[in-house]
Amino acid sequence: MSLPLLRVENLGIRFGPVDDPVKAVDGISFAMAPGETLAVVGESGSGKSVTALALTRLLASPPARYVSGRIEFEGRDTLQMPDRELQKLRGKQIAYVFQEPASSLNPVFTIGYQIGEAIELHRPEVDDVEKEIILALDKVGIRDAASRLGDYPHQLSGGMQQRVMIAMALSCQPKLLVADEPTTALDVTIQKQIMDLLKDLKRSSNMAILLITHNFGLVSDFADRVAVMFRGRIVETGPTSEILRHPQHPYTQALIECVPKLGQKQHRLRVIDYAGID
Amino acid sequence: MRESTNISAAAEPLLRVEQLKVYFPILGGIFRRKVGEVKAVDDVSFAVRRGQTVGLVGESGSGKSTIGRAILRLLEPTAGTVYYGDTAISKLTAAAFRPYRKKIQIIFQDPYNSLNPRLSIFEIVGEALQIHFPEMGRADRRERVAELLEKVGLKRAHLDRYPHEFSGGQRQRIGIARALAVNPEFIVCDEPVSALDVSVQAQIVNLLQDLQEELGLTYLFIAHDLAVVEHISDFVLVMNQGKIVEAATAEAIYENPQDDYTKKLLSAVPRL
Repeated sequence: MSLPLLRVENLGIRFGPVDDPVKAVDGISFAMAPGETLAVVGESGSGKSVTALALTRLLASPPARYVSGRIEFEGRDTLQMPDRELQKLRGKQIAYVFQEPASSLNPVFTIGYQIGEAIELHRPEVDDVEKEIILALDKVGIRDAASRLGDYPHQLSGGMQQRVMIAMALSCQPKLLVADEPTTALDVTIQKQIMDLLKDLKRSSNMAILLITHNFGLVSDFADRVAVMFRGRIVETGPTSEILRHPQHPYTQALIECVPKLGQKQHRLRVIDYAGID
Repeated sequence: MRESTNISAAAEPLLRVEQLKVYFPILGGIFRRKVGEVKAVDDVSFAVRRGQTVGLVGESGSGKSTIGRAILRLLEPTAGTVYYGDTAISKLTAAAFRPYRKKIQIIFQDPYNSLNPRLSIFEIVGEALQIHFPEMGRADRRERVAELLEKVGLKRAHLDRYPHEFSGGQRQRIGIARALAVNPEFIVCDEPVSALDVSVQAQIVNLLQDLQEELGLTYLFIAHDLAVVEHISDFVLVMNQGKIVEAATAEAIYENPQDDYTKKLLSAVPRL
């Protein structure tokens, strides 16, 4: 593996009282190479979103407490970085796409304005901002982009809003895109469009993508590697095809099996037996 | 296979929808005059047999939830008839329809918005009992709600808690307990698992199937995920832009889809 783009080591994040903390993230380590796609799979509460937010210290402290570990992005520890430095990293080097596009976009500004804002802030060298906005919208498959600049978020469907979020994230040419459940709020057909779009973008640029999801169904033809999170820990990690074909950890096995599969009608769906894990 | 669904083909349908149309007016201009209409449901007919699960699948905006709401008379159809047994329930007066509100219940998609945050679980589940069984005393009502909670996998101790104390999956169980409170025969499940993690989704789908076996329930199961619909349904209706484009058994839909839109939906389901 080439020099890692991101290296997380023994990261620990806690919430709540010091004497009885919630260990949201409990000593996890992983690394990502430039251009690599890693999927972090786990249920609600497993700590996957907390991990994603922690990468650029988007989790305010307090209430969160970063109790251990390092997060190295291109060799520099974001946990130790001064706020001003971090501000330059956020959006510019590490960009985010979140689950609910409708609540991520500001309802009172046009989409053109919101994308332009990101470009002006992070790429002051750009002369023709409008051209860049149109280029960004074009890239995410929004047709006739020039005429959509004046649209407000409510005029767009959920799938289109998520495209705008991705356009905004990509407009600063980040090295790492963190997609936190980007399709959970969307219909299956729109989900496929967005995942196909991310796949295309992955191919056409050397951007690394960290995909956070609860659905193993999404990772199979997308991620290079998978890390499975359970109760704040990474219980299993490896190449995607390997994990899907030969899951070792009982939790991974259960998480794969509980997804209903077309054409294999079973009497009952497998549910996760939490008592039998750990 | 599930015992309760092995009803002979000759069985009379429990619910029948005939040429249902639901149009919404588009208002425009300063006088808010009608300038057009949205054909949310456009001439839809189908039947659901007792003890069966019929899956209704389609994207947002295809009209599937509107059908569910029209059956419950949460909105008035523009044309067409809904029969329950032999009775045309869509034509009844509000008073004459009331007994059917006991027989037909609904479970909603979003367990975060469908439970009143200011009411305790006892009040939420017990409210329907108070309305439909006014003779039931408070102590009996508490006992009945406690039984319902246990039936859906929650605990008696949860009676006096409030919705915010529960996870998404638990809230959906509360929504199911509320639907079951009045001993319904027919339940419209309107995207009951779409907002849940896949692991919780499996639990709720299994619970719905167990309850169907135990209580002989009949379901109209609305969802946008064809894999889930195929799993739980005996018969599947595929909807697109207000019309049913394909109707077949769950197996046939998967093995031999006829309509282009069905094929598109099938190809969108993530494969492992």
